[in-house]
Amino acid sequence: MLYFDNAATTKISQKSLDRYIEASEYFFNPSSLYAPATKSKKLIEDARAYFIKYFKGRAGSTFIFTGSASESNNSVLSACITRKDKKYIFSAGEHSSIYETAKYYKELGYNIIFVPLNKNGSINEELLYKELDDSVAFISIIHVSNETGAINDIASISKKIKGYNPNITIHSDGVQAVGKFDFNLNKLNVDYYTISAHKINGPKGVGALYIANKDKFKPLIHGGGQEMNLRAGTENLSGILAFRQALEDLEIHDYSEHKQAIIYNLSGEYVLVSDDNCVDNIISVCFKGVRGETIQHMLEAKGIIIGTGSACNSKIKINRVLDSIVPKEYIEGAVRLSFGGDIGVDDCKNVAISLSDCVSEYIGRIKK
Amino acid sequence: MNNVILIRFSEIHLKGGNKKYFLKLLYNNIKSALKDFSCKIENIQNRLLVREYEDEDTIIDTLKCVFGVHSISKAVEIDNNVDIIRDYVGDIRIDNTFKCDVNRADKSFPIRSNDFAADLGELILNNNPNAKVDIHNPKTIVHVDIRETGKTYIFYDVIYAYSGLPLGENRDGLLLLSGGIDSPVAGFCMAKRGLRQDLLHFDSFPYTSPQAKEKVIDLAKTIRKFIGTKYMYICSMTKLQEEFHIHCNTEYAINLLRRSMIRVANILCEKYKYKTIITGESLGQVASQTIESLTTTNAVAEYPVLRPLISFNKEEIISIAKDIGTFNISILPYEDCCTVFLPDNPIIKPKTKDSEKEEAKINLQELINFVVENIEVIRLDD
Repeated sequence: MLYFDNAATTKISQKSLDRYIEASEYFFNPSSLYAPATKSKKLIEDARAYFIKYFKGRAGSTFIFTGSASESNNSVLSACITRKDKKYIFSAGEHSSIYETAKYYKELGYNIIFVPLNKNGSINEELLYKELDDSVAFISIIHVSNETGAINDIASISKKIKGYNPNITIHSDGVQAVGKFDFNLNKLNVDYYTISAHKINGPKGVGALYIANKDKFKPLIHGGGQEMNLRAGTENLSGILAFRQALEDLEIHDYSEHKQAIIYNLSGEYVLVSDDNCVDNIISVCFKGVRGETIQHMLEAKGIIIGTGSACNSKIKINRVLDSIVPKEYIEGAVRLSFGGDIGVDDCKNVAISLSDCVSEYIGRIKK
Repeated sequence: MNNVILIRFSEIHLKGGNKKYFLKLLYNNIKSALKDFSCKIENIQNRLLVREYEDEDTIIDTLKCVFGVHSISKAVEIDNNVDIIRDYVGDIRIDNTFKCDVNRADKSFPIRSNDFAADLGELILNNNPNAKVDIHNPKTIVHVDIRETGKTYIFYDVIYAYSGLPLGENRDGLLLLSGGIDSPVAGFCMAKRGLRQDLLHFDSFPYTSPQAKEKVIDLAKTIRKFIGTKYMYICSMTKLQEEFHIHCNTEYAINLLRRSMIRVANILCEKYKYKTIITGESLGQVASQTIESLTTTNAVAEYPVLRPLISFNKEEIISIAKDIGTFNISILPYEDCCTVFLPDNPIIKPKTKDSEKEEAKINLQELINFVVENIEVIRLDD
């Protein structure tokens, strides 16, 4: 099987899985006071320190471990969206765990603004800066688009925003950015940053949130005081240690040749959404006259798993990110190729050829 | 004194010479429905009893799904003896309005029904200072059912089931099951009249998703307990739909597809001895369910096509779907038919002649044979 849907999730690595199983047998509640429990607690604190060091967090910053990146994102919005006289700005390309939550706050009467996207799915910075005024309290911009792979230059954006008003809180969802290129949180100059384990060959069910200044953060989940009183709930020791293992093993690959192999071998009528300003291993392409979901099923029958941009289904809404940047007649034919690990250039080439063949077969089968 | 579950049946007593046959069917169907429970089933005069059971409420929920069961009561069984009955009723605690309802099937019982009801009512009044008789709208009814078997059954609540006729021994019906709301309800309605059915589902992979098929299998598993399904046939119509799409008038796409579905059903009926085809059509609901559309699909049917929902409104169908547990599965988003094959303006008043003309544009028989040869059969009774 050729798995080309790494943006959806990745396969857990053997080392991360081993760590998970090993830690699962170490069952003591980290909040208890006997010695074995204290050891659990220490392992979590070591992991936290590792995360801060790995991402080069600002002095005084921390990470809290959560149940998912969606929880991290919801926690940030819950802590930051507090006043109806303030303005809260989001890119239109946010992941649904931000986008839908922001829409929820909008329904509650908060001033929520979505900034439109460029053709590759990155935020239109010009329009973003036009929104800046004294009432802006919070801005959230996805680091790498899960749909198109577009990179938002968070460091440069933060610099401009903080230059305008250093009190504006900035969050970035970095779920798709971790492991794709080198960056550090100090340089990004964000107040919050969301990451997830299962996108970097770690386990499902564990995410983390970088918090630059924990005094400003208010928990979403209240309870037993875990995670420095910032996120209640018995700590997921196995998940956290397996997450750390995945991070320790993370390698940044150069996939530029892979991307070229794919682009070179695509054929038919299509729009390539992912351009040079996108990560190399998320490629969004929209074919004319076909349905992404049908192509997905056809490829699956050949042992190739890819993602779709929208479903062949009238009850599921059209992809909101692509809808705003891709011509209408191409939207239904949106597919996403995302890969990782030691996938070969030839694999990428073969997938692109098979994909193009399927598109051509599809069109042939229903052509009048 | 024994705790028992008392089962009353519907219609069977009207069946004259066939009563024994229907009763046996019902007994067997109940036995089969309760096969995973530890209990005993007993046939007494005009009633069935479940005794020596553990999981009373689950057994009752299961019995409610057996057609031919009219109602169910949790009862105690005691001897037909005036003193024993009075002793039992004397211990009953009632704090509100009540009445006693005595049914004296055992004519040798020495006190007439009305007299005994009055006697027991007085006993309850004497022992319960807050109890009051209300014969029109009582909070509690104390039922005393004195049977010819020498046993009396005392119970309060009557839990109603779906009534109807017991499912037959043979799987006589072939239900065309889609992933929508209507067809599972149609199967349920026909099963209520005793028609045991197998299922035929049409998919169009890769234009539809594997989840659409999984959804229909979930529906099948949900209605199986009602309709007695053993086999589900899954027929891919992809090749046919592609040919219709390419060669035929797009307005006729659904009409031609439905005629083909009936043709596939004909072949399965012939091969596996089904006697009738059941569909979830409701008159006028969509373009393919106008009287003209039904006429053109009927024109190719070689077996009676039963359409139990033909006069139902959508709300009525939804209400049954919710009741039998299929609604929440049916509304999952995975559709049976990709929009690529759905015409913008489907023909509302097709003519059989025109449908035939469209079909003549392709090699229909060969395609029907092809899709039938590739039918996947799933056995559901494991």
